[in-house]
Amino acid sequence: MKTSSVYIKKNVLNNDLITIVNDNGYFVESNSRWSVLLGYSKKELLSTPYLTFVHHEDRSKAKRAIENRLQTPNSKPFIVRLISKMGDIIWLESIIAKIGYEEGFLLIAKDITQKKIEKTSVEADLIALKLKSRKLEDLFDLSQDLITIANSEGYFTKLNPQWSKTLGYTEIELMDKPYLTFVHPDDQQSTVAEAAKQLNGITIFNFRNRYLTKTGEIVWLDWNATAVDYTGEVFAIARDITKVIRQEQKIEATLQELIAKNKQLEDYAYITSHNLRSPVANIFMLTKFLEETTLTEEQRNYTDMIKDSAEVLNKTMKDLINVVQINESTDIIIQNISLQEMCTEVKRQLSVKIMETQAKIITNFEVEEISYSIVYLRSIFLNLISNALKYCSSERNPVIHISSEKINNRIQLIFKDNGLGIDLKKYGEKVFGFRKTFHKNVSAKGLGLFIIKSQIEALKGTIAIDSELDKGTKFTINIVL
Amino acid sequence: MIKGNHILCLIDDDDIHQFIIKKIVNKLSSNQKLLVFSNGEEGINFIRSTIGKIEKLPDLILLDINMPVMDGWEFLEEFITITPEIKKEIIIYILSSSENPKDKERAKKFELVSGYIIKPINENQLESLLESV
Repeated sequence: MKTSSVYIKKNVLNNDLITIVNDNGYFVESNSRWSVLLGYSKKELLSTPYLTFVHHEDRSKAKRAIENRLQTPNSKPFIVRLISKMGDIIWLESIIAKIGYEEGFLLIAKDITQKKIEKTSVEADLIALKLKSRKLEDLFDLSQDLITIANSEGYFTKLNPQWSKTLGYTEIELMDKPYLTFVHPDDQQSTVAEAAKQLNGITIFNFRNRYLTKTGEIVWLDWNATAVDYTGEVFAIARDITKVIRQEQKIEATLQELIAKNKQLEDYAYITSHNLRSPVANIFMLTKFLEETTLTEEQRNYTDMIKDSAEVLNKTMKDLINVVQINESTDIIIQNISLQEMCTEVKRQLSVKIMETQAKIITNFEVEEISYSIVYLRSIFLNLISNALKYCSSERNPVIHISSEKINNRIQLIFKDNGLGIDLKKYGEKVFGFRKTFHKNVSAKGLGLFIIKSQIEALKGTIAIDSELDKGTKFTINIVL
Repeated sequence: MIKGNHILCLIDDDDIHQFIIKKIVNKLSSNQKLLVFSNGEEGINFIRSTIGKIEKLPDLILLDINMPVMDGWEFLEEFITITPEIKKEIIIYILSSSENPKDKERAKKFELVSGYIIKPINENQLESLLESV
């Protein structure tokens, strides 16, 4: 028996598949593993050319591999698929060697089917994983948030590109020094304290600190961080809120400025009125003294006019102070007030004017009692009724309708007259303006509507006007409940 | 009719107002005594130097608020410190043209201030003030 055949037989229990293939491509001898694996009997194996067992797709590959290796001895294995009797694919990794003095060659193959299957499934898993991490990576790379992993030594170990974009340092620069280096000096202490909490297993929500960019600009960051495990590695996400902070700061500054300005204006109004009132008071008294002296008629006329002027000046200043006081609405007292009683009170106050003009005031209060500032309500009634009397038509007696009605969560108070009316196209929103007068009437000071509008708005209500020249004017007041 | 045996004191920097008060006082009683000071410091200096002479101290002070050197508030603070030494009841009214509620509130905090009068004060008001002393 030939040496090789002995060798093959001796290795019956070998897991490798060993065979001798002759020049015609037939098995001359083969160990039992072949039968076990392929399911063919030894007789069947020996009566069939080797290539027949090879998967048809791999036949030319196998043929080429064998020819190559026979011409240029090469121990490198080649992999081809064989088909078992049952039709299963068997992956074989084979080496061949010429046996010097014998015909044919020795073929030793290893069954790698199991490995192949495993590898295929691992590959599939890997691809899936890659795809997943690709998405994560995209998320990481494209995120507008600053995402990082930092180690317990206080260094960044991973940074998304947003970091460089925001701080102007390269990723390497950022990882080169402890991250505290990049934190605003005033925030370093609080940052260290927060990081320490982290090691105690506390997840940080909404910690805020400032970083400095390469050019020294402040970047405000809002943090969410979680310590991953006992190693102290931290996953953290920060959001750049610099713009928001800047806006907040701007608003705060503007607010402070406005408060200061407002205060200044208030003081200004008081000081002005005080400083003006002193001489006005003097003028009053001096004209009074003057009247007591012997005066010609002309002089007396002048005295009267001086007195009238001083009076108008005095009244205007009082109004001005009233305007200022509306804004200091701290001492507004809200109480239940009867609209009917209020109307009667104001009518009494204006009785002379009502008689003179033969005015008729018709009320229809569906809502009789309201919670309001009595001072403001009196001011509303007084101003709107006296306006209606003041600007009545000379062609008809004034008729003033006053009504109240509840609409949803508000009370509507309406004052409607049949007076001269205002050209709203011409004056529009100026009606409620400061010191606006629309009639050539000496007593018009233009403060009444301005004052009541301020008062109504101070209590979150609204006032609107509707008017038609020579037909009348309607004021609609909405009082929020 | 005012007997004129009380001493009225005006502390006000406004010359014209001083003149007006003098005029009204004169009309009320030709022998009404009136002391006039142009600011709080002048007023307090006088009172300090007159502490022992009860008959020369004013019975009624009309005090302006806004004045140079020492204003009405500062005068009141100073006055409080020497009150125990003054063996006379002195009535003080603020007489100001300020309608600022803050001033009115502040005046209320001084117990020794009997009232707040807004300028101009007329003959009748002054007469009843003097009668009340």
